[in-house]
Amino acid sequence: MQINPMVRALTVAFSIAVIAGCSSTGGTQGGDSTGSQTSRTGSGVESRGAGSGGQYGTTTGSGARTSQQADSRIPEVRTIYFDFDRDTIKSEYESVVMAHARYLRANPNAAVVLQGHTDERGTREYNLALGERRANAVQRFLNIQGVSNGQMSVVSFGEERPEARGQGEEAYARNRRVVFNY
Amino acid sequence: MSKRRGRLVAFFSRNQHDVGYFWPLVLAVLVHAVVVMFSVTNFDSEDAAPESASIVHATLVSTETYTDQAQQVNDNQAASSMPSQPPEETPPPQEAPAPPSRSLEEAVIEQAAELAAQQETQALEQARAEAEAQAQRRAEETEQQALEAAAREAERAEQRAQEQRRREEEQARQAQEAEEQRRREEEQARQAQEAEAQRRREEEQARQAQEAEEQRRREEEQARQAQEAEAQRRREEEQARQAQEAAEAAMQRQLEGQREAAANARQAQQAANSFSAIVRRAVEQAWLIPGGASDTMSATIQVRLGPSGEVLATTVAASSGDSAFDRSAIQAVEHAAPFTELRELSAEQQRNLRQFDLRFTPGDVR
Amino acid sequence: MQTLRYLRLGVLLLLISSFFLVSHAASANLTIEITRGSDRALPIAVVPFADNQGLPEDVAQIIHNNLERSGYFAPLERGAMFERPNKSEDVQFGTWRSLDVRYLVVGDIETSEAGYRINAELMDISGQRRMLSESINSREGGLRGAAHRLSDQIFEAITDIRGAFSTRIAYVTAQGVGDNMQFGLYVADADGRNSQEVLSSDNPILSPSWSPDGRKLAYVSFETEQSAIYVQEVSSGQRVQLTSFDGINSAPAWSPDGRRLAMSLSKDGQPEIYLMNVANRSLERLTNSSSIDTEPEWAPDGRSLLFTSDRSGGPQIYRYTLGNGQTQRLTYTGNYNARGRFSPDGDDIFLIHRSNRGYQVARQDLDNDRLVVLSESTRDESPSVAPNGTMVIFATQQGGNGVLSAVSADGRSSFRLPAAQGDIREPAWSPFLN
Repeated sequence: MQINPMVRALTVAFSIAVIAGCSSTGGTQGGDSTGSQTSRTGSGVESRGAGSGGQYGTTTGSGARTSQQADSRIPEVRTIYFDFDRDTIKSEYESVVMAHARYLRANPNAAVVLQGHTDERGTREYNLALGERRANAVQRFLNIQGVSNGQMSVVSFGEERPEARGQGEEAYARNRRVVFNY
Repeated sequence: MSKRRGRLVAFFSRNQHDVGYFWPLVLAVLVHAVVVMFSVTNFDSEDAAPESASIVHATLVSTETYTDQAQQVNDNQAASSMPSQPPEETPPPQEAPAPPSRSLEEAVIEQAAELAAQQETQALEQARAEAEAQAQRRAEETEQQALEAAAREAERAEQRAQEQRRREEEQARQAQEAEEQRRREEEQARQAQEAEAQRRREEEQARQAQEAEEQRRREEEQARQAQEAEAQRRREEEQARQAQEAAEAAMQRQLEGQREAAANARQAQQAANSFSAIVRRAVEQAWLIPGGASDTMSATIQVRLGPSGEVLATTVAASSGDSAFDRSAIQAVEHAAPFTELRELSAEQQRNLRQFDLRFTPGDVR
Repeated sequence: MQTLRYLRLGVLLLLISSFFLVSHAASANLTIEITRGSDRALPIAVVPFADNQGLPEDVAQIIHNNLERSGYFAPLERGAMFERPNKSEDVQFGTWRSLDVRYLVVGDIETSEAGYRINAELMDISGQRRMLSESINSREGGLRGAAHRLSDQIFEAITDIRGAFSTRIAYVTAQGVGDNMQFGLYVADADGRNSQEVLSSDNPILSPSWSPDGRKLAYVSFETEQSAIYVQEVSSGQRVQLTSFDGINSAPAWSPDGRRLAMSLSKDGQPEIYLMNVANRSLERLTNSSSIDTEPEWAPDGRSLLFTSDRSGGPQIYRYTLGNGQTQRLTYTGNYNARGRFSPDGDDIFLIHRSNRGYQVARQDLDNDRLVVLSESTRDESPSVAPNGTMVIFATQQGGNGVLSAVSADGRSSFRLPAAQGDIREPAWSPFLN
């Protein structure tokens, strides 16, 4: 448990370095901005790093046959959910994000709008920013997986477009989400 | 002072020395003269007293001896008449001082009776024995007479020897008496000497006492003088004190008047206090602190009352800076009025309490 | 010795005389300290105005409700009034005094061809005097406005605080779920009545903000599938899209002089605070951090701005001073303080504070940084302060629907605005409008 985060962080840092080296769009963001993003989203990227280091191999290995057929179609699951006040992609949704990454890589002309949402708690403007943070986390993940930034755009709705009405953790959990909107 | 006293002491001690040799000498000569006189004139009278004393003493001794003997005879009789009695019953011979008990006396009487009877029989037996011895005695009588003549001659010689011995004893006695007389004279001289020494000691003591007395008197005089000075000072002080007291008393009287005024003021203050307590309670009941009033706000409202305690006028003496706050204070007074309790006060107190200030500070919100 | 004695006497005399001086002064100037009072609302009675029958509005009732909602007044119920005077000459002070009424409003309404003439008088029952005598002319349909204006005058006459009953509020309504939602932007009287829809959309609308002159509203609309800031004239409905940058375009806030808008834009990565010159749309970036910076709010003097930032971890309120560009954290109580709003005097800020009960409206005194929770509800958001600073209107939840609520600035009283259709949120209290 103590070593895992370090392994993850190293893996992430390595993959970011590789992607940054390969991707030309990375240059549009200011050097200062990129650097701060790396440090700030360390925790967010952290759990994604665990996915690429631990699960990625098995996912590609076992899902190789199905993905051969699926890469031509938009993945069915287009919503992933988040924990309260977090923009970390949970491990259970990494396969979903990976499927979208494969689709977008396979279809360079396809474009996706990543819609970030929050639950209704807290102030609306601040939630708007939190929703954007979640969508940005997904965008960075996809970008690291080789999806061009040109295929992706981010929009946050904050708490303005809830999937579920009402109060309580069940509704809140369904509203803390990022939607892949093609 | 101490130096002078030292010199004085030295002077007296010198005098003491001079007196010390002269007077004892005179006294000693006088005493010896008296002793010689006494030894010549008063010899016989001096002698008589000790003689009579010795006689009385001798008489007393012989009387004692006599009674003792009588007792002893009695005891001996008792002891010999009752040989069968146990030894413990026999009163011990030395127990004479203890008075015999009544029963014991009775026993003695009985014993005496028995003794008489016994003596009677003994006498009869004796008479018979004497008759038997008569013949024997007559035979012996001629022998006896010869013996008696020899004895008489021996007795006379003896008497002469005794006479000679008595004379010698008398001479010895006289010599002893002379010696006695000499010893008495010596004793008297010694006593006279002692008396002289005693007298001298007493004189010395008296002189010392006198000196001490004189010293004491001098000291007393000094003390008295000091005391007088002190008394004088005290008198002066007393006068000063009295003067001051008189002044203070005058002041006191003046103060008394003022104190009375103060007491009146206090009474008025108490009345004012109870009235202001009533006003305070009523105004606090009526005061609706405006929303948004901070506890640092304070307004002073001057209130003027009519004779029945009705509010004639209210003026803001010190504004809180917030007119709504000031208004709430004025309204509290107006709502709480009239303060009819004013009429219960004395005319003077009413006059004093017709105008007062109310300071509103929201410290405690109900 | 002698001099000492006289000195002693002198001192004694001095002491005594000073005692008399003091006691005399005290008795001449008796001051009673009043330190206790009640914080209950002022008892007032608004007697029904004469000739009120047949008129479309009950003016006295509107005034009654306004005064009651303010939290400052406790109006007497009509059933308790056994006298109903319409003129000050008819007022029996003793009658109202016995009802513990401090103030009394009487009046009548004359109807004419041109409209109405409303005459009203305000009486001080305790002081037994007339405080106010007003006559207002009103066109037909203008009775509510006339009643609000009278309420303002009565309120100010008694509290010395300018009334805000004639102001308006903007708010957003929403109906439906997910992609099937309808949004509306409304403007209504301060009492929630007389509402008008100024914008409807099937995309979210949020963050309405009144221009200082009360004529325009800036707001965020997603009608282009992206957030964008618009400025719309309330009366005409004419509008312009002011921003459409990449990322978030949100939280517009008018500067006190109305020339600039502060806003939060994420076009350069993280949401940052910018100032836009409304006339030429030039931008000035104020904050530069790797965290969220949003919800700007101008200080009344226009020299500094509040904003919410999570640069310390959770959201807290910071103050940015124009000129020197210094940023200072203001809130330290709890781990969630957001959407700060200044009181009109700039001494306090109102904000959303997450307590252990939930999200609540709170006030923080900027002098001592003491934070006081004002609301009883626990899902509160979007506080907006009345222009006179007496009330804070905010959105909260009731029965699964958003409703508008208001609490007095000291937290002593609160009321709920009449519910419109659906979910209501994002209230914005207008400035004084006349």
